[in-house]
Amino acid sequence: MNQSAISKANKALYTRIIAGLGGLLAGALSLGLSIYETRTGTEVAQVKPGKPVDAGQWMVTLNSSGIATETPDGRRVPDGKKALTLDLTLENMTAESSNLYRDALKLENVANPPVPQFYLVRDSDLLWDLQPMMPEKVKVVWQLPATQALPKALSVVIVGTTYKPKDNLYAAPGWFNPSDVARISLPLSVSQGAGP
Amino acid sequence: MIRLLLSLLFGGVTALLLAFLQSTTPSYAILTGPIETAGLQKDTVSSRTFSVKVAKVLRTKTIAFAPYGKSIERQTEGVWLIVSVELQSNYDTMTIQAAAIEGASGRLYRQSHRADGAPRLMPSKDLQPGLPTTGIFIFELPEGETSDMTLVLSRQPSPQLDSEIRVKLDGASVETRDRVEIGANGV
Amino acid sequence: MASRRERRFWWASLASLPVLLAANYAIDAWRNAEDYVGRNELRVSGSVDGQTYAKASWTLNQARLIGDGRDGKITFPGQMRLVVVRLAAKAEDDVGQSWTQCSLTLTDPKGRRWQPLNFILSNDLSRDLDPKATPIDGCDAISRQPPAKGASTIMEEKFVVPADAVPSLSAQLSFASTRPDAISFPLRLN
Repeated sequence: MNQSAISKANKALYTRIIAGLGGLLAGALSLGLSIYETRTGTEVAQVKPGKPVDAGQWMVTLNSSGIATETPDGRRVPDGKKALTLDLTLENMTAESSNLYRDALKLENVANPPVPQFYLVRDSDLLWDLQPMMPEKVKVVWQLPATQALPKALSVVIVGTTYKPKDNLYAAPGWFNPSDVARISLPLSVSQGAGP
Repeated sequence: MIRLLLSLLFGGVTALLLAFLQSTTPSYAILTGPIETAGLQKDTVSSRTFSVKVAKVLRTKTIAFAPYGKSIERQTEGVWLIVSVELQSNYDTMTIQAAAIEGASGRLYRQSHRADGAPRLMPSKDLQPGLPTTGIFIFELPEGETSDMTLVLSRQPSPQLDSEIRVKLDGASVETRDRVEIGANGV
Repeated sequence: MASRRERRFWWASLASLPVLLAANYAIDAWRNAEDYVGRNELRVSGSVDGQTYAKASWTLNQARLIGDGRDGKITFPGQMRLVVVRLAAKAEDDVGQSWTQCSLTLTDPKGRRWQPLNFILSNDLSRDLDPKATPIDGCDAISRQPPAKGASTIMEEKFVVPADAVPSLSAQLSFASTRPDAISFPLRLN
């Protein structure tokens, strides 16, 4: 009776040690992974304006930028504000109509930019969905306070995502892991009326 | 020894069986996805909740309409597709909000919002059971996609456990016009 | 080698597993069922004069069929007809909140259901039908200002239905406080 009790206690001890080791390993792996992810990423490529950038869901070509007093649909910007306008060509590279272009552009050297408004140049009206494989000339407008100082050259970062045919939750296709794909420097020109 | 081998074998067989079950289970999107009914343009295609009969398909480069008196013209790099349909609801008052064209490449082109405000657009019409309603859907797509088109209709976009009707459009009967004026009485 | 007590605990835990699982599913299902029952009209009873429903007694005040030329000059194309239903309600008690989420629909024996027209369209039609009279409010508007105890009110809703359904239509009324029970009024239009 004594022997079996001791051997049972030993077995229980071994089981506990092995379970503990497994748990410790999992914790160490997770900690290591999070430390690895905080390392500085690879440098973001600098791209010339006018060159198309592949951002996964969108093919973005930035052309020019300017300040305007009128939005591309002909409306005057409210008093006390100026419209920072970006001229670009957008093409939907996905398999269905999409209006998720807002997340593809990021202003780097402008403080607190508001949510931008997108306009379709062809219609001189708001942009809704972009159809796949149909590139369109688009103007993006940020309405900033007129007193806000703007840099001589605007630095715009294009954020791209990667396609995953089966995501981890629903096994449905989607675009994930947004990351900076390119940085473009655009000279900022001041003009009256609508942007160039 | 035998017991160890047996338990390993049992574990292995169970793992194989579970892997087989996991790989053959339809994905969540299919299990909770649309209940599809397919048909041809010449027939009235019926699902449990509604039915559609495609009347006419027009292809054009420019559309023109006049919402609120102001006249608007819209042009495109690809083509505009105007599909005239007759819809009928079977049991409940409903609206068919989601319409898309699946092109030859398999890409999905949803209704174009550039044509918002055009008269007789189907998503703005209530379908009453027993009363057929006619209206149009307007799409914009590249010319190359028009060789093999399927009209996809449902109550909401990405229907979940709701009917979706897919009508294969007959390429030969698509009428091509240079410019279409969409008026209150049709195209 | 487990002791007898250990072994019994082991078997008891195993035996309780299906019971616990079943209880879990039952509680989840009960919550969903409660929600379903609160939104659907599962028990429909014909209205009886003098019977109180949602703190009021109800009668069918008027049912008009418009569109075939017999009532008024307006005619509609094809099978389309307009049915105007008016219900009179006498509050037997303080109505309070018991009229929220009102649902007044037309049904026929085939199981089809017609929802009322939205209030903008309904008001426009009221003015077309009788330019001089003030339009009568629909169920939603009346439920926000229910009559005081003992007072009466009339509510009106308009429906677009096919002509072949007209002879067998009934109006079905229910509120959030009374679902799954609903009362129905056969319209007896011809």
